[in-house]
Amino acid sequence: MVSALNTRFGKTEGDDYFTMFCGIIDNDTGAMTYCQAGHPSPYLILNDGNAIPIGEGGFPVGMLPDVEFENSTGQLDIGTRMVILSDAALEAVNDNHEIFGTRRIEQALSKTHTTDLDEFPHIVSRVLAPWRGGRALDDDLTIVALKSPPPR
Amino acid sequence: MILTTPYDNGITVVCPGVSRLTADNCAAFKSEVSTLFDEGTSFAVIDFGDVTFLDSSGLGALVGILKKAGMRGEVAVCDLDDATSMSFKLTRMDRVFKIYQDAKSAVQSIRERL
Repeated sequence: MVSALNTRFGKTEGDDYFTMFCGIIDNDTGAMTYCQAGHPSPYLILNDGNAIPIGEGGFPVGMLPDVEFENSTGQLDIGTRMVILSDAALEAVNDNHEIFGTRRIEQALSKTHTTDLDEFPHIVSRVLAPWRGGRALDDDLTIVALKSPPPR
Repeated sequence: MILTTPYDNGITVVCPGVSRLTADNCAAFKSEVSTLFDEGTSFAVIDFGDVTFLDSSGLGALVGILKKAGMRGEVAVCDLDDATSMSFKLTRMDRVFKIYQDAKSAVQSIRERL
């Protein structure tokens, strides 16, 4: 699918491209197969509260023709949360032009292993607001939070 | 905007001349660097020594320069900080651009290849 999108969007003029993270999770086993196409690594919030980034990266979509996209595998155990964020959170700069970065995101997401999924956008905006001194972000921010359901 | 230092064999080291290469300035950057290939540069080494932040548009502009250079030339980068190195790795651009530690070693390595 990602290769097909790359062919389709690679035909357009200009330097535009996009990143994506997509995958399939087997609800019975928690086995996850995913493709990370230049998108920042999502975080798994493990049952011990640790926030672990997953994925080794990959080419963005529509940037270069004929590049290979790889699938990776992972595990989303029952109750484990996964949080996917767009680059606006990581690249949010403070008054000193310092970026928020992965370490601070990791910190904000750790110990959220019992948090309701609806809360995750608020958790992220609560840490970004003081970092930005109340100013709006320069870029749009998307946050997707999901968790593996209990067995059927 | 850009500051260029020409070397022998068509090698040019390019400092973007900004600390943040972003959507706000990357179009000018791309057009200025692309012009170098029309003026006889075969190897452009983009020196990130003074660049503290490269956003996704800046990265797109770099790839745009690579495409514009096409068969006429090569684009390499040097002196990436940790955050920029990470975004190169995340987007696999470390497989697309040759990355050097600094401008001096880039120039030396390109010379040795010729």
